[in-house]
Amino acid sequence: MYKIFIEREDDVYMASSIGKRVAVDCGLNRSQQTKLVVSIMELTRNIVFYAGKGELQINPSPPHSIEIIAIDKGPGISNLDQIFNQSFTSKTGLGLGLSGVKRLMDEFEITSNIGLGTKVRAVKWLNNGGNFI
Amino acid sequence: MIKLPTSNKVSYGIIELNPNGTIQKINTEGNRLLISEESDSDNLFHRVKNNEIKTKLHECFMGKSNEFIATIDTQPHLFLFHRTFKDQRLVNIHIYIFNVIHIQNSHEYNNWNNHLLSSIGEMAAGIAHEVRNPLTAVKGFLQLMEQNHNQEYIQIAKSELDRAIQTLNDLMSVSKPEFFQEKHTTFNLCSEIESILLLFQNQLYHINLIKKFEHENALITGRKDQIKKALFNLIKNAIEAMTEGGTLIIEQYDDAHEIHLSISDSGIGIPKDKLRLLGTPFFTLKQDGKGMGLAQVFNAIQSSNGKIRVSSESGQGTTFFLSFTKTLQHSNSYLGGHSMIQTVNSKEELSQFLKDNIDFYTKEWIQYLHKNKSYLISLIRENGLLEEYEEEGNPIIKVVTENILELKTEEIMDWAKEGGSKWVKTDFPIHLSLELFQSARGIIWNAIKIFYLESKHSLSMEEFFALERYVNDIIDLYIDSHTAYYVNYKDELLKSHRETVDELSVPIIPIAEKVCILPIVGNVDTFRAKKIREKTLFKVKELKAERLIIDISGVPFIDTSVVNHLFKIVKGIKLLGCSTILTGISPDIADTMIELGIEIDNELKTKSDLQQALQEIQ
Repeated sequence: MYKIFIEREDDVYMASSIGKRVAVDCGLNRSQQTKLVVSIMELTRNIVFYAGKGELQINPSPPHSIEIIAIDKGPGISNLDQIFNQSFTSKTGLGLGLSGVKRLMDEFEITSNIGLGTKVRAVKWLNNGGNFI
Repeated sequence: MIKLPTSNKVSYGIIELNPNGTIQKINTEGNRLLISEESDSDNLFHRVKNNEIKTKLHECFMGKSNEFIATIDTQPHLFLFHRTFKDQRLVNIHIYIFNVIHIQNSHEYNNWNNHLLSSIGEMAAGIAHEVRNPLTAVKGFLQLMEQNHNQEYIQIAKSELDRAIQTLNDLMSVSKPEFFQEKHTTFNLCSEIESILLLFQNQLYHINLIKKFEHENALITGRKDQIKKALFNLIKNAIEAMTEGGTLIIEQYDDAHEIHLSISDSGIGIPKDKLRLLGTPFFTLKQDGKGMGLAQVFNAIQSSNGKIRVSSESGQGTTFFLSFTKTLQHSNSYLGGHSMIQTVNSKEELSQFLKDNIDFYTKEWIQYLHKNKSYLISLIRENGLLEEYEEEGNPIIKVVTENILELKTEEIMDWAKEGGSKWVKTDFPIHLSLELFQSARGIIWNAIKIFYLESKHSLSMEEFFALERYVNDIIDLYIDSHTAYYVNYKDELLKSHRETVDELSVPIIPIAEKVCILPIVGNVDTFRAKKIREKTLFKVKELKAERLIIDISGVPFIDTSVVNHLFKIVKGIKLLGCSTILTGISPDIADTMIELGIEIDNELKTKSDLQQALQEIQ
């Protein structure tokens, strides 16, 4: 398991390059690699922009899946439904990050408590999204 | 025997009047308190400045009263009116003015002295007895000597006289008032107790005295006369507590650090609830007590760094425990100041030693480097430092030499700063400079060892370690500062490099009239995106471009944030009248962008690669 401390934008690229390496090691095709890496970038960028700091865990468990977990102790997300029906407008992005991750990954769950923080868990399946297709 | 100090005389005002109210005589105090300078009339009532006093004085004059109290300068004053008659005829009137507070103070002072006097007086009666005994003996021997001259009698007479003189001296020392703060001296506790006990000789006849002195030569340090007086008070209290007779036990013993003394009586004891009040000034359990005795005791013991503790049982007796820090026989040679001087000396000597031998140790250092770290030698030779060191000496040894006597922190830091930034410029790797410093530290240690051997071990272990710590502190300060400045400078350098790279990373290339290409290579973070936007807008304006081709084939991943930045750039240059063609989106990125839900603006043309874009323009 990789655990990357996220505090600055540089850490976003650090996390994404580790994600890229894991994706390659697990044999994901280019398209799936990109989806995983972009998901990592979206989640970690959210941490930098909204929570200030947090951490990202990358949990490869071949031959089944790669799990990514982003945890922060930030302000929490109050308008989750807005975010997922894409009526939210972001100041720093397109407002598509979280809902995009949900579509890019195969499993997605989010827990967010106002004032306590947010935890996002997303999984990319290897047999389905992997080399077989 | 005891004189009242003259400084305590009470000043009062006195005025002598004729029966008609004219002033005959007035003293300065009376003048000061009462009389106004504004008039030169000799009638009292024309001269009194305070109207309230004037009215009251007038009442007295009319015979309504003979005394009153009035306030002058915020202090209450008592006025006494006294008429003197001669043959039933009023001759003159005296007015006395007393400051009430002064009177109270002086009353208290006199009372305290009276008490002291009475207690000394009681003592004196007893002591007279003790002095008379040896004197009687001397007289007897003198009579004997009239008849036959015997050397032995003279000896006895002399020693008896000594005893009498000693008794009187002791009496003096416990009754001497304290006008100055006594200095600490070292003295023998047991012999002082013996001499105080002599003063109580007459009372000790009906009391059983047990002395247990474990260590008769025990020395303590403190205010000798005060402690003697305290012991006198304690013994006196003990004896007074045993009016019906009893046992007085004075015990002295010591442990590793302290000398203990306990004074126990088998007297009436002190009630439990009063124990904690002991030593409080004015607290007393005696009928005629003043509450000063134990206050003096506590004060004296504590001011001599001693400790005092009481235990008492009603009807059983009281014990006072005193303890004093042990004074060692050779204490004088261990006083702090002395060893300080030695440390300074050893620092001075070491500084001189290093200065004298800097060439030698620099050579030794270079030799060591040659032998063990030849890569360092070649590096410092390349940087032209080897020659400098050979000529001027090792810089660390120099820093240590110049800072042993007095640590000049800022100088060290300046020096380190100079070295640190110079070495950055020559790209001297930091881990190698640390190796250099550490090797110098080793050489300095060799030098200190030689210094120690040459000093013929006159340095104590403690001094040696103090020097060690000191020298290390200097070296560490230099190394820390050097590293800090080095890293700092490197950071600055990196920052300025990054700025240059960022400048270069927005290469807008004009390829045809009013057509430019912007290839973006690498990750696009917020900082870089901002740079790109600024630069692009500026360049588009400058080149009067109408078409800008942005090629993102060099960007590894496109997430919503990057797209957001791109869209902003596109919107910006559109405002300048320039349209954008986006090229270089790979299939997997396209796939991802679709999943992300990114929609490409209609305004933004996209082509799969540069070639297509160029064809479109032509």
